[in-house]
Parts: sequence; C-alpha cells; structure tokens
Amino acid sequence: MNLRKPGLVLPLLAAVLLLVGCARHQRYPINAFYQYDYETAVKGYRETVVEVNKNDEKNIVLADVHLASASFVAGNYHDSLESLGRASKVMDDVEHGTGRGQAAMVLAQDLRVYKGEPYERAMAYTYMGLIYFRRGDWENARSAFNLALLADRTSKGDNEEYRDDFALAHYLIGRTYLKLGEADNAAISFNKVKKYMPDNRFADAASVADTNVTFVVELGCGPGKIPDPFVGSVDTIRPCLYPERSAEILVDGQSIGRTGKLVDMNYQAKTSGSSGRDVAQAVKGAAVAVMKQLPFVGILGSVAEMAGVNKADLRHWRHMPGEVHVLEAKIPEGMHTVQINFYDEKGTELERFRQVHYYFRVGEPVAPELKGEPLYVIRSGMDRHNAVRPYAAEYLAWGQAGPILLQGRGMESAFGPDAGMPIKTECTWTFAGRAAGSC
Amino acid sequence: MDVRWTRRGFLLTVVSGLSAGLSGCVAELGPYQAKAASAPPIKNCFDTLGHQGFKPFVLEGGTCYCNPLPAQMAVWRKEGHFGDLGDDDILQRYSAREIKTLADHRDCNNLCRWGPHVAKGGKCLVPPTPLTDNYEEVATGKFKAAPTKTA
Repeated sequence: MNLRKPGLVLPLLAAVLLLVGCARHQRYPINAFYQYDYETAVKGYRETVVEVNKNDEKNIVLADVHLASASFVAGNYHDSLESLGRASKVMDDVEHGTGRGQAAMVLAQDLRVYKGEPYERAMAYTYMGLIYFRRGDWENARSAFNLALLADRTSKGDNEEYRDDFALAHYLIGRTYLKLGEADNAAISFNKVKKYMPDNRFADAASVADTNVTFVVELGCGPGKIPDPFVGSVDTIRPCLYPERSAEILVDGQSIGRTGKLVDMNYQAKTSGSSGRDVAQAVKGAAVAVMKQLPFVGILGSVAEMAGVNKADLRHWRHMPGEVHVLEAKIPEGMHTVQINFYDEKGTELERFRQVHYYFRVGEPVAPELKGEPLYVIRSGMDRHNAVRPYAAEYLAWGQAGPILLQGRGMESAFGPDAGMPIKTECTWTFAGRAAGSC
Repeated sequence: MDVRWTRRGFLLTVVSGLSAGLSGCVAELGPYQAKAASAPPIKNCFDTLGHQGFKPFVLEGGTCYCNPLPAQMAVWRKEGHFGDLGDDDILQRYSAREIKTLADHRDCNNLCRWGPHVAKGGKCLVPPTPLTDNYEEVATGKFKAAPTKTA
C-alpha cells in the first residue's frame, strides 16, 4: 500500500481547513459587550429577547439578564430595570414551582426553563435595587435588596452563614434604611457587612453622613460552569480568572481612596452548594450509564443519552462581574475629572485598565425632576479607555485564544444557546486572518 | 508502511496548525495610549452636566440641550433667551420638532426608541448618563462611529 500521497495530501488539507475554520469571526452581542460597544450589544440582545420569546422559552431568563447587563453598563437604566423585572418574575415562578421548569426530572437540564442560581438571582435583584436607589425610590430599593438577600438564602451550602453572606445587598439595604430614617436597621445591616467583609471600611452610618458621592465599581468576570469532572451529568462552578483586584479613584489627579470589596461572585458561586436538582441530575446520569450496560434495555439508555437527559446544564449569566466594590467620598461641588486606577493582587497598577471620565459634575441639579442619589456604577475592562483604539480592541473579540486567556474566560463553549443571536450584518469570512468575503 | 512519511505528515500538520493559530486565531495586544487627563472643551450642555450658559438648541446656533423644565426655562429667560414667550410657547418649540423630553421618559441614556440624543441627530433629549461614552460624546460634540466590521 502506497501511503506517500495521503501522507502529504492529508496534512495539507488539514492545514487549509485549519486556516479557514479558525478564521471565521461572527459577531454576537457578547462580542460587542466585551469590546465595550454596548449600543450594539443592547441591539443584539433586544433581538435575542424577541427571538427567544417566540422560539426558545427555556432561555428567556438568560436573554433578559444579558439584555439587562448590556443596558445597565450602557447607562440605559430604564430598559435594564424592565428586563430585570421580566427575568426575576420567571426566576421566582420557577423557583417556587408556580411556573414552568418542574419537568426537569425527566428532561435534559438544558431543556428546562433556566431560573438562575441563587447568586444570579441575588445579583438581578441587587441591580434592580441600585436603579431604584439612584432614583431616590427608597421603598422599591428596600424591597429589591430584601429580595436579593432572600435569593441568597436559597443557597444550598452546608454552612448556614453562606445563606446570609451577600454583603453587597446588606450594605445597600443599610444605605436605604438610612434614607428611610431607620438607623437601627441600618446598623444591623452594616454589622453584617463588617462580619462578612471585615476589611471594608465603608459600612458605617457616621462615615456615610459625611459623603456626597458613592462609586460602585464592578471588577473582573463572574463564574462560569463546566461539567463536573467526576459526575459529568452535573455542572460545577469554574471561577473566572481576572487580574484586577482593587481600584483607586482620583478626582482631578488627587486620590480619594481605594475601594472596599463588598462581594466576590466567584466565592458566592462556589459556596452555593449542591441542590436537590444536582442530586436528581447525578442520578439521571448514573441511570443512563447503567441502562446502556444492560442487554435489551441498552437501547433505551442510548436514546436517553442522545436526548441529552444526562447532560449537564452549563448555562449561566455571562456578564456577571467578579467582584463589586464601593467607595464613598466627599467631593467639592463643581466639574471634575475622575480617574480610576486598577491594581492586581500584588498592588501593581494595570495601566491598560485605567479609566478617565471627564465632566463629572457634583452638585444639585437645576431641575427638581432630576433629583436622585448621586451613586455611579463603573465597570472595569482592559483597554476600555485606550486612546489608540477607543472603539475597542479587535483582540477582545470573544472566541480568540489570546484575549480569552487575558479576560480569564474561555474553556467553556463560547456560543451556547444563551449567548445571543448573531449580529448578522457583521459576519465575515476570513482566510489566514485576512477578510475574504461576507457570510 | 512508510513510517517516515507518517511522522513527516504529523509534523506538517502540527506546523500548519501552529501557523494557522499564529496568523488567524491569535491576535496581538496592540498599541496602548492612556486617555488624556485633561478634558477637551465642552461644546454642548445638558442637565446632568449642568447648564453652561449656552443658548437653547431650538434657537439659531444654540448648543444647550437642557430639558425645558420650569426651573430651566426660568434660567433661560434670565439669560435673555425666548423674549416674552411663556412656558407653553417654549414647549411648543420642542414638540414641533417631535423631541421627547424628561416629561416623556427618563434614564435611557438615549438608547430608547427615540434615540440617539438630539445632538447626534435623534429625537431623545433625556440627559446622558454620567461616566458613559455617550455622556462625553454629547458634551464634546465628537461622536465615535460604531465599528462597521467584525474583529
């Protein structure tokens, strides 16, 4: 047998396939989000929500929380609140068994309606509360933060303390209690922050009283999911790695201090613990494996496997921050330039993460209609304020090997059913990195 | 079986794969230049930025995009704009252009169905959200074009 020709042809064919296959870039809302092109991300996720409502009801929560994240970071709090409202309604319905989702005992996990993990539900309510808080709607803010704490209490961790350690919501509800004139309740909430985040110096009624601006800073990336290495039919948390670990805020070039951490989402995810759902899913996985070994019944096992009954559910909220920090400050009235420096765990500044925001105004608005709480949310990101390529950063595209590692993302499937509809107009084929036509 | 060719084939495949990765799949970080610490001059004013004494945009050559709320209209009158026009007449100037103001909606950062911001050619006059790109773009009058091609 002459193997000389196949020995040459096959590698060459493989090389060509590799060049073409690797170079295809289709843009999804998730790409736009991580390229800081939030307007496009919002548009893409809006289309996704419409599509999912028509054809993919099980992913409705994810479509809405992704739209909420993109809208929130784009400064469109109105739409963010609307999306979060819809998502939380479905999450609650499924969690309390009043809606869909109970069919998971017989269906594949990723065929059931996604209800969100406890930390995801807690974060959804926290974002809602933040929007109400900014508006000065204290009653609704209190309700939302209470629901966030309630969601955290559904954590299935072995340790009781994990069910009440969402310090971000404790801090914000403490601030809300102060606005409502309930100093005693505020003190209880701030004491919980001190218990769970002892290094945070901001949870204090006296210090809050002497400030006029609050910065909430979101750092890094939140947890993902992978199939459990031992029980492949259940998911396990994969913490996201990211370099930024603390932030410093400067006003007109002068430091006003370092932020204090209020929550670590990767820790929250790890301490969620296993649930009844996980046990049921592990049993399904084991049952399929056993069925496949039995004569006559084996075919049923194979059918069940093909239907994905024993598949782990890897869906998750892809725009969750890794950590949320806070800084309260007293800034003189007037116009300022705000700079945010980010540092790694050794305290070295991450220059490419630096942000500079112009025309930050402190003071009463002319119109009373605009009154609200001066609370500002900032999200970290590499090259977000890179003056060379302000419209970011081709290499930040989701799906490219280098930046995936830099962003601490990527061992998971990049384009799951929850990643959003492709942005069709921006799909191109390339060959060896060069544009070769549109799709 | 000719083992040498199989080995060579394997090497070729690995090298091809690596070159594919290097040429098409792995992108370099690219240059970096920090954003200047000094702010460029303000061209347009709006409510969240604070009124800067500019003329309302509904008047010839105006660059004030503050909302026509009662307190703001009083400020404009003090500055000598709109002459003897009453509040309703001033509001009429905005509604004639189909502008949607804070009286209609809020908190959208001009990403609503009436967006973008009036200064960018849209119909939305909701003041941009501080610390966002839209806020700086409207203030400076320099608008970034959205990316037209994918990475």
